Amino acid sequence: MNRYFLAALFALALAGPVPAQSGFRTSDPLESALRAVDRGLDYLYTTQTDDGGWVSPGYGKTTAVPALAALAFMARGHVPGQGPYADCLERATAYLLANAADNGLIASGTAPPMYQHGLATLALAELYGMTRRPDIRQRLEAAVGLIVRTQNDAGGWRYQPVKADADMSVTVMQIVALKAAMNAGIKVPQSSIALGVKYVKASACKKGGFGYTPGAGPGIGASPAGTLALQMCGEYDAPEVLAGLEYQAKQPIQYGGSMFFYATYYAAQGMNQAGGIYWLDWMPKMRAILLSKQAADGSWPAENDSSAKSAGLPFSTAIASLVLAIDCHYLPIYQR
Amino acid sequence: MHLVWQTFRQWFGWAPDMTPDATLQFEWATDRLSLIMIVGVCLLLITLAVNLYLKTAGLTGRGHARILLSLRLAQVILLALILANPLLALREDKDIRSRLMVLVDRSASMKEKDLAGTTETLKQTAIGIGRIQQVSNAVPESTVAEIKTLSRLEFARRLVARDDGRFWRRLGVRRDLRLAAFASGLEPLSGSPTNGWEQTLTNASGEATFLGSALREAVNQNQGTLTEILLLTDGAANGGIDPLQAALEARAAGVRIFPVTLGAPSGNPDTILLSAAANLLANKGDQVEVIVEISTRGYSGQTTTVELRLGDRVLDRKPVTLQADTHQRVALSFRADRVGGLGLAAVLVPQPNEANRDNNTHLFTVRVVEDKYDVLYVDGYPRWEYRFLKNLLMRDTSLRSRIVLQNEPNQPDPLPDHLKALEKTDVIVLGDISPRFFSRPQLDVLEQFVAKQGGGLILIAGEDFMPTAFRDSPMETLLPVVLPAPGQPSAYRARKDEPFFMELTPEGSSHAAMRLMEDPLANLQAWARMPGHYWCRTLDRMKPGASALAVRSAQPGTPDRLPLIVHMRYGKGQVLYVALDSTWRWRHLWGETHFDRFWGQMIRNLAPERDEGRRQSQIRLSRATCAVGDPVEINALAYETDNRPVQGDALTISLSTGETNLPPLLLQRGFTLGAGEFKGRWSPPRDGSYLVRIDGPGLIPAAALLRVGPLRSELNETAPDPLLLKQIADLSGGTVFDPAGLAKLPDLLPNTRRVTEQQSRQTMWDNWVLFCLLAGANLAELFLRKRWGLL
Repeated sequence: MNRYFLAALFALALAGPVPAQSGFRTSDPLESALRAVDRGLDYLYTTQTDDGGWVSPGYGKTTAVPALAALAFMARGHVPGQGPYADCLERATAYLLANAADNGLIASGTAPPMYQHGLATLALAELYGMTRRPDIRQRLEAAVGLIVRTQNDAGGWRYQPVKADADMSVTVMQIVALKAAMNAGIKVPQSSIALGVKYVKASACKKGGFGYTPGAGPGIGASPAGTLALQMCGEYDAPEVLAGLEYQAKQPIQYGGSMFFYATYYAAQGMNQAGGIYWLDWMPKMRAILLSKQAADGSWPAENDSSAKSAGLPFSTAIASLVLAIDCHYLPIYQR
Repeated sequence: MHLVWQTFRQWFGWAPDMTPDATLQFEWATDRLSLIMIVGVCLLLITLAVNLYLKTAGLTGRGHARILLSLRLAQVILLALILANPLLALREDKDIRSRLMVLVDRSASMKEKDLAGTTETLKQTAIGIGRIQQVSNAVPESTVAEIKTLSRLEFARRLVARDDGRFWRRLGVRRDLRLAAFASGLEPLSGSPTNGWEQTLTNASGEATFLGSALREAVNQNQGTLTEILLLTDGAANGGIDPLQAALEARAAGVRIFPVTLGAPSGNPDTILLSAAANLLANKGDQVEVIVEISTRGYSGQTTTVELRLGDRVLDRKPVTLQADTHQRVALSFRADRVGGLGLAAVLVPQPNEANRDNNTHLFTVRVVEDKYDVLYVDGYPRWEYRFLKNLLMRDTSLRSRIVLQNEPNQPDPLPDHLKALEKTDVIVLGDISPRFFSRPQLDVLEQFVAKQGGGLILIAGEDFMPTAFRDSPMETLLPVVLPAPGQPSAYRARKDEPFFMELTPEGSSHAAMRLMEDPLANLQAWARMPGHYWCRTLDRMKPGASALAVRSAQPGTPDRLPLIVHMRYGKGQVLYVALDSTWRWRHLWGETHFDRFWGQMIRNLAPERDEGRRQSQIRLSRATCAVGDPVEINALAYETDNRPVQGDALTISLSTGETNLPPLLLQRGFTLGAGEFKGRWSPPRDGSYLVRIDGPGLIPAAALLRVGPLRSELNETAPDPLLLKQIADLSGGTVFDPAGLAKLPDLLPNTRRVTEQQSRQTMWDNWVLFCLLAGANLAELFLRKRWGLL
C-alpha cells in the first residue's frame, strides 16, 4: 500500500508544473498574458468574501468590483456553470442581485452609485442568457429603466441616480451598459442611445480626445472612454473617434500613474475595436508593462493610482485581467 | 538447497537450467481464503476421524487403532495438500543489457544552416565536430566557413560519427545502442555507430516535428529495456502529443531523456508569413478580409510590407513594423469583383539579405459567387452562442438574415404554416427554443422545407430544449442522430477544470465547410488548437446516412468519441446538428476569423443550388500534396464569361509560387472528354506551394492549390526551442547537453545494468510420488481393516 501511496504523491508532484496543452512554445507573449490572467483570476477567487463581494479599502463593499471581476472571469471564457470559477461567478452574480434596489439601482458601499450601477448593469447583461437565474432579466430591465429615467436633457449622467448634471466618465458607463443590454435582447429606447452619443460628441476636443465635461480639455480617462462609447454605438469612423484614437496612441503608458487603471480599461477596448495598427502598436506595449508589474500573488498593485488604491487590489486586478484577456475575444459586448 | 534441488529433480522430473545464483522458494498457489477453508475442513475431518477411531479402539485394541488413524490422517493431510496446490518457485536473476536509443530529428527544420548564428553555437559546433577542444579556443576561419555550410542534420551526423566511434564504444560498454529518426513518425534505423548510422541519417524532409509522439513511441516499443534516450533535435515541436506529457510518461517507464539542442538559439534572422486566412467562399461585390499572420526573428523594429496579390496584380498592401516574439496580424482586403475561383498570394516582402525566403508567401483560393443567401435564425434566449451568431449574420453582407429571439410569449410565430412562405429561404437555424412555439403544421412545414424544397437546416443544441424536447415530433425525424432513450443521460457536462476537446473526423477534414485553413494539415492543426468545451448533448447513435464531421476527443473519463457535429442529407436538403452550445469559444485568440468562417461556409454549403444555369470553371488535381517530381494529374473544366465551354484542342493554365511565375502548362482535350474539359500532367520541380490557375482573358477563373514537400508550419517555426528541451529533460530526470558537453554522457550512466527477475514454477502435487503415497495409505488402510476384521 505504501508503495502505491508514494507513487501517487510522486505523480501529483510531477503533474504540477505541466502546462495545459497548447502550442509547445513557452515564450509567446499571448500565452504569457493568458497565464497572467489565470493568476489574476486566482487572486480574485481567493479574495472573494462569502457573500460574493470584495472589500475596497476606500469604499467598503461596492457592486463595481464584483461586476468587474465577473466580466474578467467571463472574458477568459469562464461562464456560469462551466469551468473552475463557476461558483465564484455565481457568488458575484448573487451579490449584484442582492444589492439591486426596487428602483433598479444596483449599488452598495460608499463609491458614487451610478459608476457602480453602470458596471453592474453591464455585468448582468453579459450574464443574462448564460445562467438559469430567472430574476436576472427582471433586475436587468429595472436597471436599464433607471438609466433611461435618469438621463439628463443633454444626454448624460452623473454620480447620483437623478436627472441632473453629467460627466463623460459616468455617461460612458451607462451607454456601454445600455448597449450590452440591447445586445442581450432587452428593450432600450434608441433615443436614449442617440442622446448619449450627442453628449459624448459634444465633449470631443478639437485637437483630439474628449473632455470630462463639454468644453473641457482632453482628459486621461475621459478620452479613451469617449472613444469607446462612440465605437460601441457603431460610430467607428466618426472623426471624433479617429481623433480620439490618435490622441490615445500618443499618450505614454505610465503604469500606476493617475487614473491608470480606469483609463486602461477603456483604452484597451477602444484600441481593440479600432484594430489594425492602433491595436498592434499599443497592445504589445501595454501587455509587456502589465506582465512586468504583476505581483507574486497574482494581483496588480495600484502604485500611485489613487482611485485604484481606494478601490483596492481586486479592482486593479480585475481591470488588468480584463485587458490581458481581450485576445480571447469572448465578451459579447466587445465583439466588432 | 542443492540437496533439495537434486531430490526434487529426481522425484518430480523438473529440470530447468539453474545457475548458482538461483534460489528455490516454497509457495502456495491457492489464495488465502481458500487456504483457511481447506485447513478448516481438514481439521473437521481429523476431529471426526479421531472420534471414530477412539470408538474402534474398543474393537481392535489401541495399537491397531493408532495405525489405522495414522493412515487415515495421512490421507486427509495429503488431500488437503493437493487442494492447497503447493509450488516450488525458482527465482533466477539474469542480467539484461539496458538500452540507450539515439533519436535524431529528421524534420525539414533540420535543414537550417544556422550553426554559425552565434559565437556560442559556433564554438559548440566546432567542438562537436572535433575542430577545437574547448570553448576558450578560437575557431579558425576555415572551420567557420565549414560550419556555415553545415545543416543541423549534417551536424547530427557528424556527432554520431564523432571520435571515430570512441564515444559510442564508451557508451556501448554499458548500453545496447539503437538509432531511430523521427519527424511526423518514428523510424527505427539499422546499423551500428561505426557501421551505417551516419549513412542512414540523410534527407531532412519530414513534414512536421511530432516530438512528443516520437518519444512516446520509442518508450512503448522498447518497454522493459529502454533506460535512456539521447535526443538530437532543434526542439521545434509543432504537432502530435504534448512533449512534456511524453516526458512524464518516459519517467514513469524509467526512461531518462538527454536532449542535445541543435541550432543557434534564435536561428537565422528571418521574416515569416505564418498564415493567411480568408473565407473560402465570398459573394461578388464583397469586401473580402484576409487576416495575415506574420512573425520575425532577428528583424525586430524593421519595416516591411505585406501584400495581397492576384497573379501580377497587387490587390492590397500594408506597411508593417516587425516585432519580435509575437505573432502579428495584419488585415488586408480586396473587393471580389469577378465571379470564379481566385488564386491569391499573401506575401511578406523579405528583408534584404534574408536567407530563407521560402516562408514569406502563403497561397490560398477564394471562390466568388453571385448568390445571396436567405437565412432565418430563431433562438430561445440570449445565450452567448446566439449573441455571436446573430452579429455574424447581421455583419455578413452576402446574407439576408431574419433573426428572432423567441423568449417571450405572444410573439409572432417563428415559422410559417405554409411552405410557400419559405420559398426564398435557403437555411433555417434553430437554437435552444421551446417546442411550444411551434405548432404541428409548422414543424411539418419545416420537414417539407428540407425534404422537398432542398433547404438547409441547422440545429444548435442547448441546455433547455434542443433537441431533447422535440422527441416524437417531425423535428426528431430531421435530426441526424437518435436521441438517448428517456431516462438515459441526454447531456455530458465536463468536470469544472477538465474541458473536453474536439477533433475532425476524416469526413470532417474533407468537408468544404470545415476548412478553416486551405492546407489540410494546417486545417487539422487549427481545429486541434481550439479551446476546450464544457457541455454537449449526448446521443444514442447516428442515423444511417449521417456522418460525424467532428467528435469529442478521447480522454480519460470520456473514452468514447462522441459525435459533436453531424451532417445528414434528408430528402433534397441537408441537416446539420451541432451538439455544442459554445462554438463561440472558437473565437479564442482568433476573434471572428475561425468562428465566422465555420458558420459562413456551413450556411453556404447547406443552402440549395439556386442558379443551376451559372457555370463555374474548375481545376481538379489528382492529389493536393505530393513530393518533388511526383506527377500530378490536372483536370480542368473551363468556361468563358458568357457561360459557353471553352472550345479548341488545348487550354493554357498558369502555374506560380506566388512570387515566381512558372512557364504556363498546356492541357489537352482528349476524345473522351466533354465540352470544356481538358487534361494534363505536371511534375513540380521543387518544394513549396503552387497555384494552378485558369485565368486567361475572357474565361471564368478557377484555381487550385498544390503543396509539395513539408507542411508550411515546419518551415515557419524553425528556431530551436531550448526551453522546451530543458523541460523535457527535467521532467524525465535527464539533463540537457550542449554539443560540446556530450562527451560527459557516458560518465552519467550508471554502471549497474538492469536486473530482471525471471521465474519458473512447478506444482508439487501433480506427480506420481504423491499419487503413490495417497494410494498406498488408502490401500494399506483397506488391507489392515480386512486383516483385523473391521470390514
